[in-house]
Amino acid sequence: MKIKTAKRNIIALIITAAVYLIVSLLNRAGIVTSYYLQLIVTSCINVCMTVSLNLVNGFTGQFSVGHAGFMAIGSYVAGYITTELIPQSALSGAFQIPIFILALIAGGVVAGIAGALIGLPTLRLRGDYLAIVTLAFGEIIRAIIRLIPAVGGARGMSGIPRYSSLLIVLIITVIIVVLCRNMVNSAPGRACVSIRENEIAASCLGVNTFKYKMMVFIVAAVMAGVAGGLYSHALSYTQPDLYSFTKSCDYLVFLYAGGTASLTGSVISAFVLTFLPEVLRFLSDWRMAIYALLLIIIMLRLPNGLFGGKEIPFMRCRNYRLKEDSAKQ
Amino acid sequence: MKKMVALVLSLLMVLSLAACGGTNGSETTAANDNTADGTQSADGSGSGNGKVPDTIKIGVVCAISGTYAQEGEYVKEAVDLLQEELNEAGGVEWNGNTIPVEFIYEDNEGDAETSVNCFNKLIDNDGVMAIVGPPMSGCLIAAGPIAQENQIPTIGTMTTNIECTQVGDYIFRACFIDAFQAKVAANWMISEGYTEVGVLSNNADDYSTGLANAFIEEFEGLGGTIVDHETFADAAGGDVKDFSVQLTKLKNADPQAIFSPTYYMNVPDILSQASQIGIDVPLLGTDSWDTPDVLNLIDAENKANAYYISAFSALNPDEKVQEFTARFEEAYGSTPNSNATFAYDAAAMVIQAISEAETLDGPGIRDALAAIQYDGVTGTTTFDADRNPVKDANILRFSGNEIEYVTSVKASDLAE
Amino acid sequence: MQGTMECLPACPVFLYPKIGKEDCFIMNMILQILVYGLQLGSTYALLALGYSMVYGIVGMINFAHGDLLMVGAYTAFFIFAAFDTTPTNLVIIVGVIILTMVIVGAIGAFIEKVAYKPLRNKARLSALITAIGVSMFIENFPRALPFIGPNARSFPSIIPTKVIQLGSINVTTIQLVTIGTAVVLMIVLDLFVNHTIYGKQMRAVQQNKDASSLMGISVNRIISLTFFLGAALAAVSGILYASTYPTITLTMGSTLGMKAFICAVLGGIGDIRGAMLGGFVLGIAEMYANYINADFSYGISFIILILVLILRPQGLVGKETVEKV
Repeated sequence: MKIKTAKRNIIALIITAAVYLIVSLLNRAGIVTSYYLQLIVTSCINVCMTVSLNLVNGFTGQFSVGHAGFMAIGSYVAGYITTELIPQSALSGAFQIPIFILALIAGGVVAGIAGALIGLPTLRLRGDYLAIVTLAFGEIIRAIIRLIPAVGGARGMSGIPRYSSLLIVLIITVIIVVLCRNMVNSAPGRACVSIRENEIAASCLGVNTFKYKMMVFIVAAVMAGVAGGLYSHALSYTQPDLYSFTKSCDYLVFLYAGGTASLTGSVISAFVLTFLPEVLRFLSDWRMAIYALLLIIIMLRLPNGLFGGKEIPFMRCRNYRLKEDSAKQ
Repeated sequence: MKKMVALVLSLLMVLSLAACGGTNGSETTAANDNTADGTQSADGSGSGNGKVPDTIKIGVVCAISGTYAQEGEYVKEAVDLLQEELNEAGGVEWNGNTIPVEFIYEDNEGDAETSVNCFNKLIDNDGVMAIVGPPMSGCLIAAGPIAQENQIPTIGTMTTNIECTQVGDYIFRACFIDAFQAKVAANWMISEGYTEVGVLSNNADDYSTGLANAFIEEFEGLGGTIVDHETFADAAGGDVKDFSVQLTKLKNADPQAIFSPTYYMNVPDILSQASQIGIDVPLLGTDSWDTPDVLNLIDAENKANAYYISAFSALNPDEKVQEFTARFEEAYGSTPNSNATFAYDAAAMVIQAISEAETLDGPGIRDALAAIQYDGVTGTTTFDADRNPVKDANILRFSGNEIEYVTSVKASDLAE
Repeated sequence: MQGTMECLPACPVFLYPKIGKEDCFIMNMILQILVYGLQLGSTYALLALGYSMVYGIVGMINFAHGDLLMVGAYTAFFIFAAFDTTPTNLVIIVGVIILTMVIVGAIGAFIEKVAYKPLRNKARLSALITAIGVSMFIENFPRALPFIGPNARSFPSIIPTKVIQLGSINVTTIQLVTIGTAVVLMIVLDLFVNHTIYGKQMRAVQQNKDASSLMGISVNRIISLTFFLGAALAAVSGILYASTYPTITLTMGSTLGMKAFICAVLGGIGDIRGAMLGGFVLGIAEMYANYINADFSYGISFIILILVLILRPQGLVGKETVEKV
């Protein structure tokens, strides 16, 4: 078992290195311009968001719809640290990255605390209510940020250093994906899947459902916070309205189009759906309508998404194929 | 659990090592990237060494879809007019050569993040020499650093926020800044004899808040009193429709006039509710009100006494304005607004700067822009040291659903 | 400041000697805002009914419901635009409103047939995602149609605006019509659900689909009927809202929809009377919050929601349900 995990981790590392090398070689050759680099970075951030959302919605069967709120917290906390507390100009080059990593972790921690505060009262209730409260949370976070002059209020923060290079984003993305996979594979992960399959049965069998729901929710919030930090350092700009309900909806769409309970699906759909609107740009006004229509068709034809419960080999979790109606409550 | 912790720790170590090792790598690629871009544009579109490019590409970033599509439409129409002119002339004159000009439009949906993608795409994929737009401050603040890094001169059109041109010395704007507009408003109020004034602004909008605060400071400096400052929180531009509580409170504070710097989508609702509540004192709006949409949307029986400031008015008797208005109306059947006019002027300034540039590259065009003396539709424009133009303002008035020209405020009269 | 004489009629008589001018002024303000709140609450309540009925019967949150309000406003706009001049005849106006209700109701039932019915026995969350997709489609498809486009429109003033002085507070005709229509419709709906055979069938399906199907109730037809009614009420809500705030846009329904949904939860989702109550409570609360601080008003609905969920998750009038195994 141990060897298998190690092997999988090595494969992940090799893939990261290969992707990075290929992209930077293509970049040097002038084929991949910084326009595409930016899109790849955005895609990676979207992967982090989608995968972490998958933990809550896909594997544990809860329904969180305010994921962008945690992203906002992470992005602001990390941005504030690297812009205001320890600005780039005060740092020699060697310290920039460690400070950035610290800022990301800080953003993740604060987002995690927010996750705990929200999870505490609501995770005891039925699933739909979590949806509403997370939705409300996403809106309130924006409203609060707008009123804090230290981070620019409604105007947002500009001049955040562009620390999110392709390499860093890629590495963090891989770490998050691998962590998610291992978590799903672990004993707590199995507990989570049992909650999704049948919460009452799980608690009868001695699974502390509240504890595991809280755990997953907080882990997902931390990951979203880190992704938010990456996001603001990739845009070099952050603003409350970037994290509206629309953004949360985007991630839901990414998740469900890719397939619940499938990390592979999340990764692929995050990439495809980040590039798709850019490719469809020539459609201008028709674009969003077609995007919506595609989503409806996918959900009608494949209610579990394109990759529902399926994984490519090295991402495969040991167990649980998603049954056709397993998410039915 | 222990295993997981160990895994996280080891991965973090690997990460920090990789990150430290990788920084140099990524920096060098970034540097290479720049030089690659440099040579690319040198091959693709010519540069300062006397080689003349086949065409000059200029990017135009505006909202073609989304909430702000209407405004983007004006930008596109105005720039299309200029394109026609240039096509007739065969292009822009530079060093004795006539080079065709192509404007490339990118849709930013009025969104900051998308603007960043648009800028990257225009600069990297299309190899543009300069960018016109975006029309909104937030978008330019987000995307400006990209133009700055790549040394692409950029002129925002309606980007009135002071921070826009602080991004760097490649970022210009075609419109006056909020502080100037606030000054115009305060001076007009005082000159009309209104000394007790109420303010209604949008707390969730930077433009509105910035203007309200600048106005309050300026107005109190001139000896006026603010009797009430009411706010609302509309993040989406037109989402909040009910101002009755705020307007009732304002009415009770009994001001002589109300200053209301708000996004145009709020204007019809504010005006109709103000007249229903019985506010009959003048309301003064800002340049965001200047779109025919407001006219189409307000009630024909609108009884509110509403004025607004605009950098451009099609009713201004000035000869250049009338000529441009006639051309625009002939081409599109609608009256141009400031958005269209600024886009036209911004694009025309870029063209003039190109013809005056010593070298046909970013720095050359930038220097020519900074030193420009442009005689355009919105008056003679020069840039100050902060790349903000010095311009005149007009005061207009809604009368029923017509617009009346009231007066012009000369920039030179307000200078301290 | 207003004079004491002006404000007196609005103050309860027994307070006359005790209150000063300032108190009286605030009193008026409170009453005036109550009117605004009732008006906003009417919109919320009509919209919340749709959420609540649909949730009660198929157990899904119909995210696209708020957008049906926009569809209602636009449908009425185009019907009125077909007339040469905006009609002033009351019969014609009511006719147009009923026609709009039927059209939008049919659209609502059609959406259910096409997008939700195939997922009825699948994971509940995938129906929710589909609903989000439908909502995106409704907002963005008309934008691409050349005759609608992204521009805001000005809704014709079908209700002549007159300001009526009630004591020292002002009430406009639009406010009276809005509140009146909402109340009448709610009473009609309540009678329909509780005293007709269709209403009885609806309640039966809500309690147990399989059992009611065995009793010979056509479950599909009842579900369609529910969607039809919800959408028709949303359409009226849209017309009333557009008469008050004449600038109509394609996205006008999304925020309203979210608020209305909160009303439905506040009242106890699935409960029709609860939805009405929730609508008025939230509308009034929001207006008072607006009076205290505009920033606060933005968050008030969500704060109320969280408080309700923590203190009384079944809503104000909802019954507590125990999950059976």
